[in-house]
Amino acid sequence: MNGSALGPRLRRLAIGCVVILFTWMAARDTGISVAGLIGGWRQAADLLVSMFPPNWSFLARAWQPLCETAQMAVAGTSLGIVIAIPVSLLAARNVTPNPLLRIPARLLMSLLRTMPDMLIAAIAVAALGIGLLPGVVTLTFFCFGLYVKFASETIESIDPGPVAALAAAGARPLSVVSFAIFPQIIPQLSSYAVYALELNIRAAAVVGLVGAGGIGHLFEVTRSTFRYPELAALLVVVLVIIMLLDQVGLWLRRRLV
Amino acid sequence: MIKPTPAAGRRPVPPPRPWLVYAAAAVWCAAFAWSLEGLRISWPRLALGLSALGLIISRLLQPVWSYFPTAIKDLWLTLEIAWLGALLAACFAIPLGFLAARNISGRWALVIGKPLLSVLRAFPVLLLAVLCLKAVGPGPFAGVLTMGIHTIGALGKLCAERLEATAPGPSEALTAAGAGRIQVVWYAMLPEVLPEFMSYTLYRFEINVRAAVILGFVGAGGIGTSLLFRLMERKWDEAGTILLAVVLVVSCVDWVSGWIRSKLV
Repeated sequence: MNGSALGPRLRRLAIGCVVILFTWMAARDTGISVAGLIGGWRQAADLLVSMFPPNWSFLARAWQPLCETAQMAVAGTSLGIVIAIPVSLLAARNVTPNPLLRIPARLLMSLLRTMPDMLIAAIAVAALGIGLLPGVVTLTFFCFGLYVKFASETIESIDPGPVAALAAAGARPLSVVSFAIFPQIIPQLSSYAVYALELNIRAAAVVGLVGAGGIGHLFEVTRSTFRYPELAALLVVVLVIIMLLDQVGLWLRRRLV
Repeated sequence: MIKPTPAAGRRPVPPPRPWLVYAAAAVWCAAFAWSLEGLRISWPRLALGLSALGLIISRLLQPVWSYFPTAIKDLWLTLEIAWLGALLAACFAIPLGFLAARNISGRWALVIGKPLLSVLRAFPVLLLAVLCLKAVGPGPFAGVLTMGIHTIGALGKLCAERLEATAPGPSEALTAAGAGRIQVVWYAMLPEVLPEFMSYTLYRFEINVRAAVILGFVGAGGIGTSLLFRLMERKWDEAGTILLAVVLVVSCVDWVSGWIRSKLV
């Protein structure tokens, strides 16, 4: 209550000062300069011009990496979901009332979700070497973290009636899960699976930048060898695919739930 | 094991369409088989790699505390990049938001404002990063530029949508009292939307913090660059320290920024 006694005007002034100070420090540390921007403007424009016309014949070579990107995404999503479902039963309050099991499961999940996908990819590449394998491992982890959240929230929102009925009739836990819980959550979960696949395909397109295979690797190769017309063709294709994918995913998810 | 909780105001479970679920499942299984075949996973290598991964994770979990201050210093730079990016975006996004709001700029919104914002949103971040790195050279400045330009589209869209949803009362009152268009915007609309604009900017700052970590990987400075070097040099303990610092700082930023946003709106 001390803060409000100071009056809103003084507090606002203090917040404003902190913000301005932080901004000033940030500007100093990052070395932003208008002169640099004006000087560099030409170079960026030159780069953009050198991308035209895009080299469309290069796309013949992109087919294989594009397939690999899709394969990484599908494999990663499938494995991630398979691991995620048992864990999400552990993280759901109505299935696992024991906080000693539930809270660690939730904590681990939120920790995993603060990790950006590229960070996981960099670690996986360091461990498994360059190639498709670290990509699959990354996407599995990424999808796992995401899907546990979706699935445990879905499980928490089910109708408890069937669960109570089966438990009262003396069904074992496994039967309760498969006959009272799963039938209720399958439509939601399949819609989330499509969504997770969409996110994973986007992620799969960029994990190659740190060496995890797929189309991202081809990006990095064309970029670091300054083959800009090829890079432009690749960017256009990936952009079109991702936009199409958004539409297909939206349509499918509407039908599933 | 299972304890049902009492039902409270839930919506009925929609009837599933079995044929679609089965068809989708079949397609998915086929795609999975195709993937496993295409990825040519060598199982011995996977087993070896996973045991290496386990070892690395156990090393990552043993951070060196003496490195912690350095990691926090690098992260501070990342925070600054994210903040300046959000601020730079706000400087452009708010005017563009006014331009794209139908109730303020009329048909100009549909001709210029909205198309401009959607192009900015669709522009790939990677290409943007390459352009900015080329323009101002590798370093934090390139990170700020990439972050800023990338954020304009999303922030501008939010602002335009919020402006279109302003209450008509105050504007009508001022117009009736003979105020000009700029006066109406300044005295009737801006006071209503400004707290929410600040809140959106803070929210983008939270998203930018995560993105700024990644931008460091392509040479835009901050913690990402140091982390990539540690990983390449296989200094797992120092990399683990950086990861710990990232998790701590990202959670703190989310918490503080969420608290400020709850006070603003």
